[in-house]
Amino acid sequence: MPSELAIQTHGLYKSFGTKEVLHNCSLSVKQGEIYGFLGVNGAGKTTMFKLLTGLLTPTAGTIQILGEDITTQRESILKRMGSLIEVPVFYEHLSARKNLEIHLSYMGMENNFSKIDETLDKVGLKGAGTQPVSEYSLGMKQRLAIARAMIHKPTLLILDEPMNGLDPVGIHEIRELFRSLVQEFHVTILFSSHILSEVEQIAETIGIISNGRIVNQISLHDLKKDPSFNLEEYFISVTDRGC
Amino acid sequence: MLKLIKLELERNNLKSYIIGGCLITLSILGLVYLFAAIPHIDPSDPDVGIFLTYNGISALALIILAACFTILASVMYNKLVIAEYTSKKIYLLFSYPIKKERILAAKLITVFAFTVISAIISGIVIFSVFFLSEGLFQLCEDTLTIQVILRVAILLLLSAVISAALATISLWFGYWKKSATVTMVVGVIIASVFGSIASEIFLAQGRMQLVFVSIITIVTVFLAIFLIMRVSKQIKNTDV
Ligand SMILES: Nc1ncnc2c1ncn2[C@@H]1O[C@H](COP(=O)(O)OP(=O)(O)OP(=O)(O)O)[C@@H](O)[C@H]1O
Ligand SMILES: [Mg+2]
Repeated sequence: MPSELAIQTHGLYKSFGTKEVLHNCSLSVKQGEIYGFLGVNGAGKTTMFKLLTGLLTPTAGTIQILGEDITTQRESILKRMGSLIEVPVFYEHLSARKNLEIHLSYMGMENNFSKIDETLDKVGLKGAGTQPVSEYSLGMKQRLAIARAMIHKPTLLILDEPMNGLDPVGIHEIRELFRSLVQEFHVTILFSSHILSEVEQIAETIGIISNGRIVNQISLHDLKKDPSFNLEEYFISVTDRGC
Repeated sequence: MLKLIKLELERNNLKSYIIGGCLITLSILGLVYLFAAIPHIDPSDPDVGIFLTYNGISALALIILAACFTILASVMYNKLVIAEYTSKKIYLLFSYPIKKERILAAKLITVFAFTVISAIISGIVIFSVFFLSEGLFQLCEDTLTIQVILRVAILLLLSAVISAALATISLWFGYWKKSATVTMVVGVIIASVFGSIASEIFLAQGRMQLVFVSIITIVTVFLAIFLIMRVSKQIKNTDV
């Protein structure tokens, strides 16, 4: 039976050689929520996402995704997950449409080819599907990466800085897109971002990582009950404490 | 697996390798006529004997063919395997819900099959043109028999397999050093070392020729399996 939690890690450690990057991390993301993951540069956000998507193997600890263990059930989990890690990579000489077709084929979802136009439309790439990705701008690539992460109808999205390089309209569109994914399809979204105003607007829960330790996981809704609450001040005070 | 191979073909443009194969074919065809013409240009040279027989000329042509296709296969291994597993493209490959070994196997089969098939086609074109033109205007002193053609066909098949197998040495070095340059340089070195060793073996007389070439084929195929297993294990355990 799938648990209530979409993501749950226990006592997670990750070291590169002698360098410890994650220390005893326990992350819990509820199903159907939008979770914002915050931390200064080099805090360990990308490393955490790579562990969650099975790109890295933990030094110690366990990772449960959608009720299954990522180290043993990797393929089954990846089928239900959409991800974007660091900078988006594509087959640059091919068109956006072809990139998505190839992605869907690898996902075993060839019957979703018909959804390509609709998905490109949703991320603001209407009419750009036939262009080779090498001719895309940074923000267009970012949009295409988001389209790719969601086109196979995953129940969990793990997005590393998805708003990176997006214009204000793009950020607004993606925000609406996230909300509709959660409302219509009960998708869980875990994302990292440095744009605190953005996080404040769409995340329900935030987790803050500092020096490889998760120093706080809290409902943003609860925090906002305090009328004087300011996420930036809060973030700085919490990460300072972690140092 | 067929689907994975089809996807490899779809997203990797093979056109440049096909052009490469065509260029190799044309160059070797030119060389074959040059070899055949040498005894007519300078009949006094005592070493020209080898250019008078179909066995001699075809052996030389096949060695060059195998060397060229070894380099072509190295370039392909670099593009399809090394470049993808040592760059950020690996994030993409590892995000598919397919076992890592299966994706790698699809890539290796693609390169292996492409190399073997294109080397065979190249050889068929070269020898068909040469043997047909011999029927019209004979350059060699031999008689062209079914046995000669059969022997060339078997040697061509073995040379094609040798090319694909030898190139796994560049694959292994290139993956180990994570470098395209290393892959290419190793490819060229292997091709030249192979060329000098093979000239003795391919030119062996009579039945021994086929036996020797078969032995090299078996040895290189085993070497390829060993190297592929090592690379596969490393790729499976990469932390990216
Ligand atoms: N492959 C690796 N080998 C060694 N150290 C690494 C490796 N990957 C990451 N690190 C280290 O781990 C730490 C965390 O890196 P990570 O990329 O997770 O940070 P981040 O929170 O995503 O930062 P940013 O906000 O800049 O994206 C950094 O100190 C980095 O140097
Ligand atoms: Mg990062």
